[in-house]
Amino acid sequence: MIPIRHPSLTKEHEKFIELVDELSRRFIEPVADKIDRENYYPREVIRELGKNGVLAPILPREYGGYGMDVLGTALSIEVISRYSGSMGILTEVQGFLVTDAFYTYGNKQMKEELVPKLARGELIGSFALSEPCCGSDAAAIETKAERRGGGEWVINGKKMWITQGGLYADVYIVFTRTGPKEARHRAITAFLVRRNKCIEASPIHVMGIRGTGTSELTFNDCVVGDDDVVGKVNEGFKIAMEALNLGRIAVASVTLGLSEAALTEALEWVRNRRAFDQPMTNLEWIQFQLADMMAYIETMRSIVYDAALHFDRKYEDYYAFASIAKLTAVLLGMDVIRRAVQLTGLMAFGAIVS
Amino acid sequence: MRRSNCVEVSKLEMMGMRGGAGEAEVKFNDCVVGDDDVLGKVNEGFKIAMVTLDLARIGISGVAVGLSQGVLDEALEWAKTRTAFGKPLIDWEWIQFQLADMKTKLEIGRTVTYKAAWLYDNKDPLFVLYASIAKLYTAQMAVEIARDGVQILGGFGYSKESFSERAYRDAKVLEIAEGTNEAQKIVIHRILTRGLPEVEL
Repeated sequence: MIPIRHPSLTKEHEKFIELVDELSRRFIEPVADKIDRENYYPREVIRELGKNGVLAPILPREYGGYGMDVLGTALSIEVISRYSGSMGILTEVQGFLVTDAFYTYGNKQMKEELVPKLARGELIGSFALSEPCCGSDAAAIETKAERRGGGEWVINGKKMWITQGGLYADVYIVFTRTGPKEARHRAITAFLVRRNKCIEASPIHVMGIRGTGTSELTFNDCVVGDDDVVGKVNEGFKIAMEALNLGRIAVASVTLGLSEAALTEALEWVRNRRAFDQPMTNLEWIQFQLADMMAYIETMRSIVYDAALHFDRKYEDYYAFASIAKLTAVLLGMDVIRRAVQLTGLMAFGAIVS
Repeated sequence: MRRSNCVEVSKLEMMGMRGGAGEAEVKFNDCVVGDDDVLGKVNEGFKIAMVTLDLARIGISGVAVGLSQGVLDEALEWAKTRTAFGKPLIDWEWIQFQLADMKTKLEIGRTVTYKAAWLYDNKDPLFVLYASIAKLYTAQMAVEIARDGVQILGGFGYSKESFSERAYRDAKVLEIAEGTNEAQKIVIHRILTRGLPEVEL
């Protein structure tokens, strides 16, 4: 595997990378193929990562994290994704989107009771924002939470493309409309909803990041209380956006890890493969492909780590850098992986099964 | 060579073109055939493979054009009916430009594919060059159009309910099978520097 080196990394980061790599080899590598082929949800891997503090490493150790900064967390997702992109996404959702949101915005009870269990992988948390009506246009969501007497709220509506949303989630952070649609992001509230019969789930079959339990959810008269509001009423949109800013860094890290693994595989393949009476590595075009891939990967690394440092150093424009990193990394990463498939030819397109 | 017990087959599981194509690794163990089973002449088989593949390249280009048309149709329909930020997707300039790019690439691909086929039908030796040009261009086109189509469809495009999800996976192999993109470049470069090969049409 190509080494992870960068002037921004401390000794602590390097030690952490080693730990995550060791855990990934032990727990993820053996099931990575099964996750994809059999759409297998790796519940036990989440537990193992949680036990070792690498599921939500950004949290302090007493909350089940590893006391890492955003850069360290991004590194863990990168390393995990070298073994499985699905596992990278699950770590992002569980760690960044759900656990960190409850830790940052939740009330005392959520923070003390829920957060450590989520961070340790004892409970599974799901982030329910997107809807059939609205993905990119998240401020237009329609799922309603209506307040009735006695401090109770009733939630009704549909959520779409929810990672580990169906069979696996124990708790959800659900974004709901708590005012007129025209008020857009100013009338959205986040709630903690526990697994309950009022939630109907159906799986969605997807092209990639399989085994992550992508689901459509229907909330039928789900009753929650005032205590279940995350943050403040009508201030939920900010929670979603802050979580997604971190999520963007994480997705960029997933792409970086996948690209590194793809380059490693392509390099190994062309080193051992002969064509036109010579090793493939003698061919200029192959050399230039590998050089492009390497250049793109190091470009991705720089922009992703740079964006993470913008968070850690609390620069005002950190969110712009999160988007820059995500946009650039996925475009370059898609290109790197497409070239890797091309270099390995039909071996990448198919795998022998019998 | 007829189907026989001397032929050992292991199936391959593929990203796309699943089911129908039945790709497999095939092993021949002491398979016995006769003089009568020689196709063409002894030691002249490579030519058969190459000419057949020239024709097959037009077939691949046909697949590329068809898949791309399907993706564009689905993206256009989706763009007309889906709203975001208060108006139909199709009213957003970026979506309009994406669809325009997809249509442009598709029609260029269709034209070069039909030209290659026309050259074959008219026994024009330029057919060999155009078969490779069409294959190289349309395979890349199909991957790009499928990628753009999936992007317009968003989460729906990533789910197995959409045509574009399948087309995206199917399209990738067009850059690999029946001569990779790079193999087409070798052919095109050779014709550029050495002229057309002799083929019987």
